[in-house]
Amino acid sequence: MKNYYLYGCFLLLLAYGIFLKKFERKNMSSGELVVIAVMSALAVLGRSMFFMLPSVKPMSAIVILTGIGFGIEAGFLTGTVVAFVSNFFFGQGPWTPWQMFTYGILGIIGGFLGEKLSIERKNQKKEPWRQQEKQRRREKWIVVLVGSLSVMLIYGGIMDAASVLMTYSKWNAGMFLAAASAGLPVNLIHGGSTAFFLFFLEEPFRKKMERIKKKYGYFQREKI
Amino acid sequence: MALLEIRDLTFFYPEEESPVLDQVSFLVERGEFLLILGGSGSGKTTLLRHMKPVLTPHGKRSGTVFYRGKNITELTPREQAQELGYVFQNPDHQIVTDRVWHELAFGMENLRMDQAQMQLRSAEMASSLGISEWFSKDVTELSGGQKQILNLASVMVMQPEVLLLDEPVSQLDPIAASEFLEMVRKLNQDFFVTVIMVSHHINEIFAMADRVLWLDQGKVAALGSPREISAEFRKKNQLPLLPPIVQIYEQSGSMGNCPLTIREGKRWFLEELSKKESAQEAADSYRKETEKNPSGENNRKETEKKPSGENNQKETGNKPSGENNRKEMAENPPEKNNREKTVENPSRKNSRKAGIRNLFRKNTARTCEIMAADHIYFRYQREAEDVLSDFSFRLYDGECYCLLGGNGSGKSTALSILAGQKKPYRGKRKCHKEHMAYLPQDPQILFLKDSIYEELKDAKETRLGELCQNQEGDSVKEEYEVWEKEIYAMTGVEKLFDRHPYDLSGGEQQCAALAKLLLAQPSLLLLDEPTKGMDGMGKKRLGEMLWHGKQRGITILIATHDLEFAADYADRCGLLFQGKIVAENVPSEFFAGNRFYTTTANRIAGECFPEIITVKDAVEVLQEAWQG
Amino acid sequence: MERKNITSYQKDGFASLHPAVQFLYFMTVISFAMFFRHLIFLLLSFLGASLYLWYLKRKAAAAFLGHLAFPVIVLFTVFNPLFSHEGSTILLYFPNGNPLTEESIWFGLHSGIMLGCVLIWCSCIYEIFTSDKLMGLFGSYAPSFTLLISMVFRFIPKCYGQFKRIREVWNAAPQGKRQGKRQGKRQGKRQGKGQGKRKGQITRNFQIVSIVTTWALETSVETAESMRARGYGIGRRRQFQKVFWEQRDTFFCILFLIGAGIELWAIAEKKIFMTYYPVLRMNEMSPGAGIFYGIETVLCLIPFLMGIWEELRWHYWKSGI
Repeated sequence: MKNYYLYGCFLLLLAYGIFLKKFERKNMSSGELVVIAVMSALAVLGRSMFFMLPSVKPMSAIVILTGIGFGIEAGFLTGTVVAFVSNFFFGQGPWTPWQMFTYGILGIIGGFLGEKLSIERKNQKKEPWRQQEKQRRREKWIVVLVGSLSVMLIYGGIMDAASVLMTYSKWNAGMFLAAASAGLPVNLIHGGSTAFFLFFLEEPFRKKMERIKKKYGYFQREKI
Repeated sequence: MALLEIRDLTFFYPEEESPVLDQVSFLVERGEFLLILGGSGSGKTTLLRHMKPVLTPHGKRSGTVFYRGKNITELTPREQAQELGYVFQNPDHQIVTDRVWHELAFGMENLRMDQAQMQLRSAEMASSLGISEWFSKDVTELSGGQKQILNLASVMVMQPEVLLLDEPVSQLDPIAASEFLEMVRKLNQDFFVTVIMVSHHINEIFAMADRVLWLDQGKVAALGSPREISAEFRKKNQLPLLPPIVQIYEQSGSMGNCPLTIREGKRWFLEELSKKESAQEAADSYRKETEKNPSGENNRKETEKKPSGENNQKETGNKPSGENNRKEMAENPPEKNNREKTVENPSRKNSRKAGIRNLFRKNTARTCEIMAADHIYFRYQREAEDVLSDFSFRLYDGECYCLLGGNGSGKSTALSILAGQKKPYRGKRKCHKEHMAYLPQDPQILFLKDSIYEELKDAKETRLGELCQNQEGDSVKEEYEVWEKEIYAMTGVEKLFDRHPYDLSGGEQQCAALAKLLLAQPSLLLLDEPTKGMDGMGKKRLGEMLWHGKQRGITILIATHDLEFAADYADRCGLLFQGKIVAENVPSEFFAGNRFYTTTANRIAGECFPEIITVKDAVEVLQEAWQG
Repeated sequence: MERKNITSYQKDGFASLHPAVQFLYFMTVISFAMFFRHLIFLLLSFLGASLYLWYLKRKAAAAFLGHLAFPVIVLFTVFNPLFSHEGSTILLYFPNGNPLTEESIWFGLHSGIMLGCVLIWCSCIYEIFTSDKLMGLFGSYAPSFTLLISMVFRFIPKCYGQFKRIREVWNAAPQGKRQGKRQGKRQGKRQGKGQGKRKGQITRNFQIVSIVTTWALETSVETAESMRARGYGIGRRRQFQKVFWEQRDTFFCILFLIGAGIELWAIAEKKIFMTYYPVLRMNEMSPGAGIFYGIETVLCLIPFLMGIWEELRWHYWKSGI
């Protein structure tokens, strides 16, 4: 009897175990810890504010933005914490570990994106102001696009697959397809709303996070 | 050996020319209670932070701090955390965890104590500071005062030798503040904890402290027992930093033992009067003089009293706080001019309407009503108790009204209802002025941009846009620019232009927020606890700003529990109790009959001279008595 | 934003056990339900979970069952045979030629009940397993992570309170009469009035969010300082445990583990079994099997029975006084 869900859960637990061990050893500075807590709290609040509109969650947008602003590790941590904590308000269930995982992934994607953008920015530093403005706008659109796509495909994909695995220990490709098509509207709304939130929140969040980072020297070692 | 020794400490913040701390040296003995005083920007907090190495700011530094004869930076992190406790200003921001018990244990967790020891210590602390009742509560359920007590307790569980307090009560209401200070005093007296406190809330602490250190622009201006030190403040014209009782004593220029408490003050005052054997006479002559200028049927006694006060003032030659205001006010009584202007000015649509209405209502005199609330009822939840019940209120054009009241009397709620933020479930609120500005308790929430300049530019453009919409032409613009300049001069906000709003100190933030609000040219300004966390000098400045605003026709409504401030600057005061206004009058009348709910000056002198409510009044009457 | 406090269910006999015991219990019961693939076991578990939920929430539990659990069961019972065509007992053929099998219906039913059962157990966990318990449980293994969670719980109401305050102040200002509403107003003039107003509303809401974010990030510095002042970062932390292991926890644990062990043995040794594909097969109803069912019943009903026992005892105490 092959139970993939069991294996999946086991793998996830193992991954969390390793991550936690690393996290505990690292002894993060108090400032960074607080900042992550603040971002997570804002994300959870975002989810609870739109609770009457299912799948319209600024949470994913905030997780991605945290990743962009504060790096891969912070992004993953925020995503995990957000999924875990928000379920204390909306109900824990067998989906919790998967949500933690996928939100973590979203944070990681954000982190990679942020790194890429900052490298790009470094390379073209000496540009006139107008050019910079253009660059900023381009970056914004990249963030919106990548963010909403990863929410739709990665988050939606993993969660749909997980819901099939969770229920049926015997499945076939048809079931996944059916689950995906059943989840399509939900994922579309989620992706679309994420794009919307990213579009509006990208600039203010980036500015604020940059300022905090610069002023207090947070998350500096992750810079390449 | 002294417990703490600060030797020649000089400190520069990065990229700054002048030092924040300049050759500061002093000793602190074990078990001492040291109060650090100073105006804003005098380096108090910086000094305090030098006594806790993890919090010491970056910058250029010379000189050393010794703790038990050892350089303080050489202490291990563990020793530092254990021996030196630090409580911050804001009760909310320094709480780390979500539950009271966890917060209490937080420090011990960091020190990796045994479970049993943690259990014991938190039990000990909770029972001795009275936390046990809310031990397993959520932190958010606590009031501000309870939060600050929790912060104190969670520092004290580590059993520190020195307790460093950075304006711990400035965000609390008076009753919570007294409770907190009482707790600190107990720790100092009963448990021999050395206390070093920076605070503006000096009325109680001043008498409590063993020694007072006055920092003036980074230098130690004076250091000594509270009784000795007050003369120094007079020399440098910084008396508003001291409690009113000491101000009265110093300003009147008397000799002998400086009174620190109301009890001592009253004893001293009565003695002084009886010494001259003319207490009754002085009282009589003072009364006569006030009656020389008979006040109208309206309650404008306050301002009309001023000219008589001024004569005395000239003789003393000693310029006390707020005097400039008074003088100007006396020379051109602001209310009258103002009122006439507003009635005549045709551009104000509402006033004409109000004028007609006033024909039918004689006892509101010349003023026109700009805000009215009738029988307002309000509660936060359906099943909760009424915060406001049968609250009726009138605000007249051009006045400065102070809404007073104790804790939880609903001042702030009333203000936010009057501002239209909350809707009453019964009753009506009418506002005849469109341009209303509201300054909340924490002015930070008005800021949106990355620098003060952008913030103000935004407000300016909005207003200009509005003005140009009604009238074309440059004259509007020019007029507005004059107004803008005035505001900048008044608030002194120009030097803050390129700073980020959150990099400013509390007082500066308030100035900037006020500037921003005033740029919109409001005709009504509502302020919620504007003197919270301010020292005497700051209050004086704020009072002057408000007075200037009033001169330009802005009506002001303040909710506060600062009686001294209300007595100094209000035209009318109202006392809110159990959700309605139970007393309302001009300050001199309002405070005159009260024995408990009144200003320091009135408490001291009110027995003989009920009209005396401000420091200045008290000083005047004393001097009059001496002159015979 | 309400979160359950630790005191809510302290009177409950099961909820007052050590969190580790509760955790062990729930994990075991849920994994039995998920992986045993035996309909009778599943139904017993379903019964236990439902009764306990009823004990905890009374009327709300019925609503939960009716609105969530049963639809899930029905949905998955229908869903499975549509996509899974395994099994040997063919009932009929779909228009596209795929067969509908009896086994797939049974399996769908099983899956539905399984998911419903897990959901009910999870909502029981949600009711009694407060964040405090979880933090206490993991505190000794991951003190920093637990601290982080605890901080998030601290910041959520704090930020929400601030959000409400700001919204009040900003929304009270009459439209276009004060700072920050410039955009809304200008657009209001250019485009239709209503549209501009709505757009202004949206921009203003994002402005409020922006202010809250700045505020939260900037004031977090003081929190960080307060942490450092109290020795954060000295080294590894040790979480303060509020609950201690009691004798009755040991007692409970031993009994429970024995019961669970027997069940595991029975499954491993195929004393109890059930297969769906290719043919529906099940162990016979023998006295031996009855014993195993009995044990499972007891296991699943423990929380409910403990709760009822406690209640009865209080009842009699009261009448004794």
